[in-house]
Amino acid sequence: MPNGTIAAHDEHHGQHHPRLQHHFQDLEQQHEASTLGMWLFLVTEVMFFGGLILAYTLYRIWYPTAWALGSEELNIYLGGFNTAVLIGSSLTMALAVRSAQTGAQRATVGWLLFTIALGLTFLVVKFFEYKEKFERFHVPGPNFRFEGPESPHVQIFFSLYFALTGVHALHMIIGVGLMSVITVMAYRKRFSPEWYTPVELGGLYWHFVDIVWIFLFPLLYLVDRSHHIVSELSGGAGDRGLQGDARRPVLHAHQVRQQPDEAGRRHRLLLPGDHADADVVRLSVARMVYGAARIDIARFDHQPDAEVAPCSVAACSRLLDPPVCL
Amino acid sequence: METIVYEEPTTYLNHQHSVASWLLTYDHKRIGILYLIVVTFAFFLGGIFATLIRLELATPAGDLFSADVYNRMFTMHGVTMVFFVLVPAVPAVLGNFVMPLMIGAKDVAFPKLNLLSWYVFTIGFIFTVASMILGGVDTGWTFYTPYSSQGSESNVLLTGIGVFITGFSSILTGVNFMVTIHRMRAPGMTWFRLPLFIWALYSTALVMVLGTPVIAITLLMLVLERGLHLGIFDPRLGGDPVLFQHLFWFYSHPAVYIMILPPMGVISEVIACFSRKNVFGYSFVAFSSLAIAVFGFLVWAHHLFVAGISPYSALIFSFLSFAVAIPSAVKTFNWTATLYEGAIWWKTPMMFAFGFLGLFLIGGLTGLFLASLGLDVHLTDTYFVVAHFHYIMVGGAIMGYFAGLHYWWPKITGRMYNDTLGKLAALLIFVGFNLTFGPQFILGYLGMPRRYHVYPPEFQVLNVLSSAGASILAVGYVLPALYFLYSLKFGAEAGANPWKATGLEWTTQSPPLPENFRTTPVVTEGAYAYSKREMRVA
Ligand SMILES: [Cu+2]
Repeated sequence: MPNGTIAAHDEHHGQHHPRLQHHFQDLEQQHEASTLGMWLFLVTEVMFFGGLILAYTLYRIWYPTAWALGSEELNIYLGGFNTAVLIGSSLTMALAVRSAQTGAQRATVGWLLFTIALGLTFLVVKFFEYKEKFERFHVPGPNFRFEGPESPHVQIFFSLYFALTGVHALHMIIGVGLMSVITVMAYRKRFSPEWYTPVELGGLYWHFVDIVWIFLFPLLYLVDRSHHIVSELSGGAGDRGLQGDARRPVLHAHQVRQQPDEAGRRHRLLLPGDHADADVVRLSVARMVYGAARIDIARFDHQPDAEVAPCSVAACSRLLDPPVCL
Repeated sequence: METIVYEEPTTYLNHQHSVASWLLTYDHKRIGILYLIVVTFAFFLGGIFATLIRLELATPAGDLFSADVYNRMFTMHGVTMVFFVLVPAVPAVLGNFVMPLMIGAKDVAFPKLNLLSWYVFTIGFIFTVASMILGGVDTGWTFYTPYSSQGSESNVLLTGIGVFITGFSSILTGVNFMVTIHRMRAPGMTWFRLPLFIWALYSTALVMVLGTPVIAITLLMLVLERGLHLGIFDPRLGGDPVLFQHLFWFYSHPAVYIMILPPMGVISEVIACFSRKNVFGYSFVAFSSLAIAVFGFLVWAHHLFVAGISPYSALIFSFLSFAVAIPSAVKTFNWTATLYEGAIWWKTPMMFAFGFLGLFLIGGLTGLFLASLGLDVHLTDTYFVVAHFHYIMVGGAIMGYFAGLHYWWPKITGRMYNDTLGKLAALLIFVGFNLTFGPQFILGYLGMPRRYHVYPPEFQVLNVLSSAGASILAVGYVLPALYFLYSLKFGAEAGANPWKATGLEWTTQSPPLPENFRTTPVVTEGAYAYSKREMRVA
């Protein structure tokens, strides 16, 4: 190409913005490049988490029971609290960007510090959640312990739980580090309405990490909570009514009776008659959770016109191995 | 056609001399050279493993290595060549060097990130070399589970971590290249004035950005699985080893396009320059690169036809694998049409480009055999597969890399190499390559499985031919290293534009200025404005 080489762009080199790197023509080009770079980086992050979420999806389809059991072990209150913390931190982050945009330097520092504090809160809560998992041997590996035949599959659940939340927590730690650097820059009054790219890009990153958590929270903590009996049983007391499948009556904890054997171990689960034919999955879940030797389907409430459903025994012995029903 | 030659002695090579000025450079040209050094080292390391493999296979008996050592040999050959030669060769070496020059930029968009990519790459390579020194790996470069996660007693962890780290170099390079091509083009350099090498690099960067994170997370799962026995890929614990294959090939099939798309871009440049013609159907060639990048993500399960996937999905993946051949065929036809009535100038880069055309054609067509469901059952895990992907990845990618290296060497170093020796090398590689891998098609068709160190005596003749070809190939690969090194000191001055080529990179001096151009170039016409008047340059 016999391209004319004109110096049109290089002529007015006199008044460079101090933040303009030499290989860019102007601040606008530099800003556009940085923003596009950050968005592309976030695309790679989506693919990165995507691989894990694919594994999650496959095994959830294969092992719904184990997923329900594993999910039950997570602390929904801490998870919910952390969700609120992160959503709050997205707000403070957005306000920090806004302050930088309008040149409110002290406010920028304040909102950034607020964001860091919320991020640290999240990590501290996460630490206590992890600690609890360690104490209860729910960390996958040689020391993993979980009662019942679903144990290996629950281990896969916990592997993915730790992989997903661990990688997410790593992103949070990096995010807090980034924010600290940006806060120092803001404190030193490096930003102006013409140039505040680090605040903006840090914000993009921060919102992305938040949004990952918005996906992880329901995927991990809210799996099938409403669909099986275990929450009732493991809750012991407490009448946390289940929403349940609309076609089935709701089963409450006080409706289920457990019979201890001679040694005092739980031996039988007695389900109310309405549920006798209900859900073989529920029975197997109950059996696994309690390691009960037998699950009896018997009517123990006094509904005048209800009948013991004999067919349920057959259904049960067909699907539970070894057959445990009477 | 006028060329602007600057007489200043300052170049990116001589304006600073200290070791630190190289190891801490943000200059894309120097970073390209840094990559060249590591990649060349890896190439010869992988070549040594290949030599040992061919030596062992010269006789039917396992007289050189035990089965276990042989497993380690082909694994280390594959890991080194795929992750440390083929993936970075053209994009990270040549792309880094010429891409900003070709679009009229002073540098890539993120020069510091570019240097970081090189460090990440090199650290990953050091991990992998360490795992080799400590005894190597024996899983095959594909790391299939459950063998890699529990059966193997070799250094899977260390190698896995090495490849995992290296992946981030690819990701960062991809992001950097895409942003550079979007935002750093010189005034007047519209998308349809871009050289086709840039289109190819852009498509490659897209694959790097979308694919590499998936292999990273897959290797992370593998490392965790191996270290902690989580069960994610262990069928005894309810895991699915085929899931690993899906995740692995979701990256590794598109990775084939990371390896072959940039050389295709090089071929477009070389063929246009040495036949003095605009590339026939420019926009078709440009968009076929993008099409390959996008459709390349939809064919991965053709590696799983015998892994027990559903016949319906196999049918769809078979169809899509046939379909992805179309954009490759578009390119091949367009290159051929470019040659038609061109003024062919027989120089070394053109020799390599012709070699590429022949070998890539064979490699591509035999891929269709493997994409068809019935035939694939017979050919899976035989030498037919080995021959096919070597035709693509060595015959295609390495030929294209050498074409590019010979094309831009005068620009990179400011010196000319010996053209006769260059042609000889191209010829040796072409002949040696066909002799090495041609017989392997027959071996595979006859049923010789890959990855065994012994074989029935009736296969010996073809194996001896293959090993003989490999020795010719080795000479062909060593020769350029010698005359390139010689040219550094004794080569003739190249001048700014020894090929009388179009393209912005030829408008600046050789070796280029540290800041590439004295003034920002302004582009007024397409990439291949060769006119027939100046055809007879030779
Ligand atoms: Cu493939």
